[in-house]
Amino acid sequence: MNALLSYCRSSIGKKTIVAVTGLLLILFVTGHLVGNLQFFLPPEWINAYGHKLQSLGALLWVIRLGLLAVVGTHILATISLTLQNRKARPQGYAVPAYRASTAASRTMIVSGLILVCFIVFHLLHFTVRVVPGHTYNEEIHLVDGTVVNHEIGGFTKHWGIPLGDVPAHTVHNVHDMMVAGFQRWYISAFYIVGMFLLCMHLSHGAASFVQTFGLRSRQIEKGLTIGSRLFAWAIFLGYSSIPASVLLGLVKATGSTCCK
Amino acid sequence: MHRKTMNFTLRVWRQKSANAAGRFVDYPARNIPDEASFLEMLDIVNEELEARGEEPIAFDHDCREGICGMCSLVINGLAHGPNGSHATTCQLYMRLFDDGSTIYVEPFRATPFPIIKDLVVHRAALDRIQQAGGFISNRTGSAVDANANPVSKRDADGAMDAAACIGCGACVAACPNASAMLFVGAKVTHFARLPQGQPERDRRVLAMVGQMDKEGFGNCSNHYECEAVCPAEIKVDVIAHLNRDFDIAKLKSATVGV
Repeated sequence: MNALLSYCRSSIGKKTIVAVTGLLLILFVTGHLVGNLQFFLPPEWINAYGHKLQSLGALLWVIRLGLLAVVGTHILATISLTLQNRKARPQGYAVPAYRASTAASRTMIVSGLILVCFIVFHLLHFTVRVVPGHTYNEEIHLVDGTVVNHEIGGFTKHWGIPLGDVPAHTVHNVHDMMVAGFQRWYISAFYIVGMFLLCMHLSHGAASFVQTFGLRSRQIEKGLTIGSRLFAWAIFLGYSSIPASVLLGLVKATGSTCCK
Repeated sequence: MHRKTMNFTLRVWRQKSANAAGRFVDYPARNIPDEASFLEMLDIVNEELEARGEEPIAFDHDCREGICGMCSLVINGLAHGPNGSHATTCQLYMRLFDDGSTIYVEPFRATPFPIIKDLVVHRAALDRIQQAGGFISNRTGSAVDANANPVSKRDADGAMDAAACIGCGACVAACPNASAMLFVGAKVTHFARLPQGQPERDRRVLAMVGQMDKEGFGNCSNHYECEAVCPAEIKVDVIAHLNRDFDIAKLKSATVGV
């Protein structure tokens, strides 16, 4: 226990905490994007996906609280590191000049803290669903009072996995909720700006964790730099395509969870 | 012989002592030969200051051959100045600057490098990190036969590259976080890749990182500015090596002991 505490207090220990939590968050944003891109498939795909996540019950809360803990640890460790860094250089240079660092690497704490605001808004928007001015057509009663879980949207399986035997007779119309949520241009603009900040954050972060784990070398440095930038842009384009397609009118509300 | 001369305005950080407040003071540097090094240019300016009865600008220097690691200075925001070819300030020539330009000259800035006077900073923090573990404890005796300790070419090259560090502290000065991890990484990697460094390998990395943290250096956040200014061309690979060795040593110290 003492050894763990002294590790977590050391410079390299704290960096490792940031790298481990950062890697977990990279895996999350990737998985979250793959799930969300079902928005472009027929509506029942994302509705069934949302329903399946909602049906996880206790496991859903384990995942949610786990993610919260990972984000919280990532933030606490980086704030602690940043405060130490500021203390080590209280007076900067009169004419700062840079040769190797990037705007992304020098603004990690700024992009990160703005992303915290983005996450809070995003949760209020689509998880708690309390953003005013929006009424989401989210619950469509298929058959009142009866358990028709196997009838949701007219199909019983998602990616070949049977939907659980959860006693439910409603299913969230996630697809229409997303369309409604992105209809206002300023909300979509906020999401796209947020994703650009995420892109900046990841372009540095996705290469950094490899170095912090001690796995970067001259042999892979070029590939790592290019790879992390490509990954960051792919995340940006993937996520931004959703509000952009709603604003451009390419994806419209269906008014029902099912095609029939 | 044709000698081209140049003129500059120097904006130099002047500070009487460690605790005195410092400020920038402008000095003209006139008729500077273009083949003068930056330090020789400061010598010329100092001669004029002394002739006028003014206090000369204090700056660190020793060998003036680019190998001792004594000269420092942050010139126009860059540690060891705008020298593209990885060299120390003494190997920086005035022909690299635009004639008539204003040049900012500042000390290496980091809390563990307190300013002694003007541009001179106290870099003993790096010595204390070295003393914490940057050595091997073998009795050396007379020189052993060459090849008595087989070392692979790859490790010999890696150790030699790391051993090139002259301990000037430019990595700390250039790092936006004032981190000393390139320096510590070089010292740790140098021994970790040789057989002589193995007996104390874990204790060394723990002690040196412990001292580095105690001195109040910042934490590497992978900007790689250090690598860009290092006159000995130390690569940030040594920081990866440092991270790796530290994690393993910590794990061992918590379980089987080091």
